Amino acid sequence: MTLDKQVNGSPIRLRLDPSSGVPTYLQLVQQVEGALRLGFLQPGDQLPKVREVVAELAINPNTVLKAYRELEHKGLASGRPGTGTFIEASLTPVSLPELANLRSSLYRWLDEAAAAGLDDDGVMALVDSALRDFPDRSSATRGARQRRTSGGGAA
Amino acid sequence: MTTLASVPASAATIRPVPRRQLAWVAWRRNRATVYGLGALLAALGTYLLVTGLQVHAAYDDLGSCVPPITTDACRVRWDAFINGYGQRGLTGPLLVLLPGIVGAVVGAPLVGRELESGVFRYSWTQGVGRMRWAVAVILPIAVLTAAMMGALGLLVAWRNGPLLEAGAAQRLDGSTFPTTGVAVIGWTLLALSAGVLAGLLWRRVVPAVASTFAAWFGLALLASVRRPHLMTPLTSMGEPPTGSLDIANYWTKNGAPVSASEVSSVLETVGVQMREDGFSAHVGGGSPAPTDPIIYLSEHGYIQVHSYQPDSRYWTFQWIELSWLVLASLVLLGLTFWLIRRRSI
Amino acid sequence: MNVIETHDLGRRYGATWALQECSLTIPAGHLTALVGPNGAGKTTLINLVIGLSTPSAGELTVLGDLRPGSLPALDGIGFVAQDVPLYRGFSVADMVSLTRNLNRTFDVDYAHERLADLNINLRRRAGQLSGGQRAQLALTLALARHPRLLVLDEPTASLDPLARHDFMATVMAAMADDGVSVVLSSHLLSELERVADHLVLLSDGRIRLDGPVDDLLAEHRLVTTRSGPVSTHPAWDVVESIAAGAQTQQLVRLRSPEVALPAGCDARPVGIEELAMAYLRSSTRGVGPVLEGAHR
Repeated sequence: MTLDKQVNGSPIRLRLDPSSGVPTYLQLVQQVEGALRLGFLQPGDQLPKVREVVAELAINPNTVLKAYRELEHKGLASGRPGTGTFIEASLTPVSLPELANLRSSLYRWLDEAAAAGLDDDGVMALVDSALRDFPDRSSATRGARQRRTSGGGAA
Repeated sequence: MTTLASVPASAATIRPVPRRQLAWVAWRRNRATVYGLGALLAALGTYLLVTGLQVHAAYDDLGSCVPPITTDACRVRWDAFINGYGQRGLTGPLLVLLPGIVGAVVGAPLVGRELESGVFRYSWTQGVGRMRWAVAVILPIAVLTAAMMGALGLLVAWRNGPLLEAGAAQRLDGSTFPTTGVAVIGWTLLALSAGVLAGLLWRRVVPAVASTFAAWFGLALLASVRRPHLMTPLTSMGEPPTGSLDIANYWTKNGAPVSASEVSSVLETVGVQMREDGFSAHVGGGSPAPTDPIIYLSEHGYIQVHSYQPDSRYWTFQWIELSWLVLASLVLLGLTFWLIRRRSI
Repeated sequence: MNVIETHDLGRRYGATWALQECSLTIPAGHLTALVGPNGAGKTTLINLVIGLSTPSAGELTVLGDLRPGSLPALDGIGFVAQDVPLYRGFSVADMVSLTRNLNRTFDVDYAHERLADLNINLRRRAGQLSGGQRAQLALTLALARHPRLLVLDEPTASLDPLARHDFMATVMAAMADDGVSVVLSSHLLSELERVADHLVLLSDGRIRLDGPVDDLLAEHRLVTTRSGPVSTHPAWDVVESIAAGAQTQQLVRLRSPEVALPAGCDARPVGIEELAMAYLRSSTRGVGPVLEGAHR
């Protein structure tokens, strides 16, 4: 994702990392979410037009549409026919108390793992594998949680 | 979802590509050939024009010294004329072969080059379709090439005029006939349509040109052998009319065939030598030479019988030849179009 | 509308079937990748679709209910062949005029605009252009006809990566702008994930895999087990097994999308490139696939 200082159009430009192993549409979603988290995208900003993304990255327009639909599904964006896709909500970072809670529960889990004989690399492999499987089962709950935390609404 | 342009389930009416557009295709695709033919026409035409003018001028100079030659002085001038302009050398055979060469070279690449280079994958997948493409690419250039060769044929006939008039050459002769009149158009069309078909079958230009020319040449040879017998030849007692195509002749004495050497020895006794276009006296004979050896021979019962085709049948033969040539060309072209339509790679 | 629909389609040359029992339904609005090794039947299928070949068996319709090679079908399908055939002696402007005159509809403004964007001089001979420029020219000519289906037979095979990227970007932009459907035959598995949303995998003249990419990915898993390879399993069909020491990795196709995976089995999704490679390996007999792809 790069910043674009142009007045019209989208503030961000989407990029692609072909060797990352992450599916294309997911990369686009993650870039938009990353921009939201860092404040580069505000509610009301326009996402890059499908045509522009496609012409620059040489990816299938259906992929871009899929990414934008995913963002819509998460409540982060909405499409206005004829105009484009616009940001509807902001992704506020996780609050500090929540972070602290997560960290302590993670320590407890790490204790369990150490007791079972899992070393650092083993921990990373397990976390990696679990993260990959995780979206299959509970994308619905995650989506709901994100909608709950996006308190800004449309600007 | 991406917006789809609204698509009809099937295009019930497709308006055809306008002729004007196909005309541009016909021109652009064959532009180089047209220029080449133009250059050939200009070069050969100039040559024929220049030499033709020379022949006509020299012929006019002869005045009355044209066959049948009676005086020795005229014979000298006539011989000089023939030696200067009567021998066609290489240009004679070249002109006969030219329709075959031109037809093969123009026809073979029309479809053959397309297949050889693979560019048919472009041209046969355009909206106009392969059939109309073929019509545009083949027919106009075929007509133009045939017409051009026809024009050259007119020049050839004009240039040969004086020789024909003097009886030193015939229009029906196998090396002249196919290069003049309408037959030359037919021979060109035949070579061209054979070339197009060959290009389609070989899918390569060079073998197509070679095989087309070889086949055309064989047919031309066959035609020149058969041509004198297209209609029943006439027979004459004595010399046939000027300009006839002499097919066969033999001497008779009192109606029965005799050998030419017998006649020759009879003439030797009176000091006359027999030649193709007349007779000449030579020193050393016995009695004084008769003024008219033909009359002398007929008084003694010797008549030469000729089987011939008269010059008056020239145009009949021409139209007969054109007819079967055009028919054959149409068959070849029809076959070509049918095969193009069916072609499945 | 289905841009291509075949039923038991086959094409035979002499005694050899280059393509057989091919039944496909390719919907409009997608980019369908035709994948397979040399001689798999990709070009054969393409030649049938665009009307250069006629079937030996079975049926084939394009753009709904049109017969391939018919005038309406030719009108609606744009094609760029391998080796990008053009009249090498023609200038670029001549090729534009020629294409305009060989078709009913042709957007000359689009063509000139695209060529100007690409810095392709109209006066240059087509034969003097670089490989990438020639490919772009052929693509421009095809797209200027505003076809409903664009068929590309490995047009980027001899292009450098930059030229290839530009070529595909043009194709994608046309999809976004015009809604044109694309059928792309390619050796490049590495770009499948980016460009294809429908996949047809051919090997030895037969279809091995066919369907929307998303569905195919949802149906397959890479399963790692400690025990030996299990050849039959209630939940899935095995596509490929790779033994690696004590572990066995199996690429499996789930029998139904909501099947419960056995406890303790490590099953992860696969990418489309990995999936295609596995199918090609398992279906090609003896000869290794001649394909490019990033290898992890």
